[in-house]
Amino acid sequence: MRYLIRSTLVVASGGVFLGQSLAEPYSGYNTYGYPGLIDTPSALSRPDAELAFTSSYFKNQSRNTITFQITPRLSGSFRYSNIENFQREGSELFDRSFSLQYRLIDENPDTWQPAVAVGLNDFLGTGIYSSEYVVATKTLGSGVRVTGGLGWGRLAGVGGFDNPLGVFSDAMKTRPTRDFGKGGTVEADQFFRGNAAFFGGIEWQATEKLAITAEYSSDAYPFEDGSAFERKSPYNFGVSYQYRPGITLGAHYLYGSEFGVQATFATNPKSPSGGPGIDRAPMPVLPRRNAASLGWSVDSIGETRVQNRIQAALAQSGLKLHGFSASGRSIRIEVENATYPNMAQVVGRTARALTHSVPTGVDTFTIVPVVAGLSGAAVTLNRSDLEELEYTYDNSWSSFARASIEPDTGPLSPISGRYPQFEWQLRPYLTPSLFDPDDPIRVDVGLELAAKYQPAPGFELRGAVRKKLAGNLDESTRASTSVLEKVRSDFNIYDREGDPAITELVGAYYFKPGEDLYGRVTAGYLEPMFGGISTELLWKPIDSPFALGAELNYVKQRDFDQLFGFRDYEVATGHVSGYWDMGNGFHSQLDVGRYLAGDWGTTFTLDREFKNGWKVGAFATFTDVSFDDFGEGSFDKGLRFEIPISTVTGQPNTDKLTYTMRPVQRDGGARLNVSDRLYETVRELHKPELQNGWGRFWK
Amino acid sequence: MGAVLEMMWRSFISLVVATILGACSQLTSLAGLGGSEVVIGTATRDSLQVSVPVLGAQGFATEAARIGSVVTWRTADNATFSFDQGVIVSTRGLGDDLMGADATQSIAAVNGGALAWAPRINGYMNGEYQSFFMTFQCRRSDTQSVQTPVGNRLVTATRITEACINDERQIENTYWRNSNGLVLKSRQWVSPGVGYVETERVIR
Repeated sequence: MRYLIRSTLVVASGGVFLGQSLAEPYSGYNTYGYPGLIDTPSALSRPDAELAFTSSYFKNQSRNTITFQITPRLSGSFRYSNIENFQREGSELFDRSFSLQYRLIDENPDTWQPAVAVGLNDFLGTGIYSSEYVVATKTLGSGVRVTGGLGWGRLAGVGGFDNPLGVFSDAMKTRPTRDFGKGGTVEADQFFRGNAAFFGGIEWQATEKLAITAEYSSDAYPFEDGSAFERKSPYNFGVSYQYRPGITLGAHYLYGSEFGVQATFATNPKSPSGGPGIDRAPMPVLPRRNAASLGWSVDSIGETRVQNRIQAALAQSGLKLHGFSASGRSIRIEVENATYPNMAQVVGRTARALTHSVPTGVDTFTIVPVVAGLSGAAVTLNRSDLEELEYTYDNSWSSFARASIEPDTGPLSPISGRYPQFEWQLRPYLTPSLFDPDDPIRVDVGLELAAKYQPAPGFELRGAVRKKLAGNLDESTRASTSVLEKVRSDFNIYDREGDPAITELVGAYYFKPGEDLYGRVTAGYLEPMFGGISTELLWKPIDSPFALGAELNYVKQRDFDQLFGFRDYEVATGHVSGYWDMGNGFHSQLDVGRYLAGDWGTTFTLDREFKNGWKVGAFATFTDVSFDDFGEGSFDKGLRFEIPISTVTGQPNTDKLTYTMRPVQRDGGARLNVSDRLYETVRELHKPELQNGWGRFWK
Repeated sequence: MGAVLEMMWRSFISLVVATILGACSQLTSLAGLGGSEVVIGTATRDSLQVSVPVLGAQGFATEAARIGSVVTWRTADNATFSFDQGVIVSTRGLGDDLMGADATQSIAAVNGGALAWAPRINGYMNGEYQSFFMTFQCRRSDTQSVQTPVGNRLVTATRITEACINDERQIENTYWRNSNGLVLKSRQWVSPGVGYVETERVIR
């Protein structure tokens, strides 16, 4: 993301997922938005893959937390808090913090054995919420659950005693003060050190939707007590009500003095609200015995007529014919998609369209999806298999097993009339900016005019202009304090002066220089802040979990007004990138190279990917810029989300909502934002992605 | 186009709308199934009256394809229903579609067999676009000769009732079959999201 912090303001909810009920072995969310009771932790987790946004408020304190159940046992949270009268009257603190919770032991309902979890809170940076805990939870009969744990740090504020871990080392008995520098670094030398204290509570599921909780919190609120609110008692009481699946509302009476409220919105990428999708029905397979009117062979009908029929049948299916060639009893079709969320469905719809348009003597269809003049896999299907399998109960996997998926070797053979092609569209945009202490939520909305001209296969000229209609991004006046080249931290000047702004204006060429190789050259105004030339080479066999890429760019910083001029700064930047589909839905990426400010380093990215296209991930970049020079946050890091719109609406659609959220945007570890990197483009044309999506072949 | 990193307003709106509608989105989109544009008087071929009570949808479908013994009927707004000898084996355009089926046992029931329990397998797709299967044990549980209204006529038909069970649910499919073996009417279970589909042949 180019700007400070950009966030979707919406958490998709709805769909089918499990509610919060004591009958199920799941915890609720506490005021910090991680699995817990009211203000303390629990040993249970949330359902695997649940993504939740929790907002809580009590006297002068609000917390907004995104929590992802990364695996069935591990959850991670990112929190943005606001505390008024922090430590003293009149002060205001905006703070970002992370939490991790790991369930070590599952509850055994048949024995005394409870669930046991361990957790870390606010282990990076300033650490006002810093604590560690070990906690156990046991479900008793009649919807009652008890939790008890041992806490350190903030969770040892009340009733603290000598650290039992002191038996291993005297050093465990004292908790060192935190020297957080610019924040952002892991403060592991504090972990489980200093005094410890007990906390715990009891939950009662009164009705299917209503739960009542009482807890004893060992948190003394050392920075807030006396200024933000009066902490009079360690006892908290709360009710939570499941308003509808995915939405839970809570109210609490906290620390003997204040009422608090909270709301959680949760969704699960495994079962988004769009379900399997409400696509309009495809053309049914037309069997050859009923298709005599199509003629016997391509030769006897004439290529042009066959091509016209195919084009019409594909158009009716929401697809475009890119190329066509016939030889004897086989036919090869290149197809372009602007309708469906995955290529397996494109192949399936194309195959059925072909049964309505190709002469009956043709018994083998080779279907090659094409994107930006590039092809990946060629999927060969027997016409007889389509006729045989359409209505069978395991039509999806039986058709996958019988399909041959090979690298496409042939050169593209575009039909006449495909090139040149000009397309344009006018659409609204919305750009939010979060976490500026002066105004934590800012938004611009406006119109974007985008156009694309394709003179020949692989060649593209494209551009986009934006005109702001309303918004307040221009109110950000914080000047960059960066000691590095200001490659990103002047984002607010770009926001202020870029109206209208040319966000992209480039010429691009995509090509396949050899087996399993893909190439790209893009030149022009590459992104709002930089222009120049960007080149890339990617090696990716069609059935491999590994890919390797190299990118080399020479760019110059653009003028703040984002029109045609440039500033003085120029830099050569580029990376070698390794991609690894690790299996079980996890995907990692490692980039090593030179960043925009001239710093050298490495970016680690780990995503959890779902077969419907949802991605939830995190990244961190370490470069030779010192933490002090980097400034606030010490190094570049963030979370990223990708949500195919079709999974939410249920309507077929190729749009995705992609969003990268950084706690803070600085200049170190900043990468060029080229819009057309090859890996994601090529990946959907390859076998693993086709296989992941093959359920949609017959949709 | 160059906007991969930015959220588009259109996407934002669809997400907001979808969030608000939540699970209702299936219903709203299907309200038009059939719809007023299909006027029965203009049908020149046989048609099939279809209704899906759970979705609040009904309409008329015409034959769209025939492959082996499977006939596919399509409604005006492009939902399809496929039947093998009168037994539903596939739907599309309804959301929680029946993707395919091994309905050998149900077909035997309609044709007078299936007195002993035997399996039926239905194929579906989940929200992660993965196939899953639901198996039932089914048998013909009742056969009656009845007078039943079909269109505006009262006809004599054999009413066949089929019971299917598994660990989660118990369903009952009913078929009204004439002496030529044609299923004139039926009420058949499709999926958890679609529930039962009711069909009636409209013969010109």
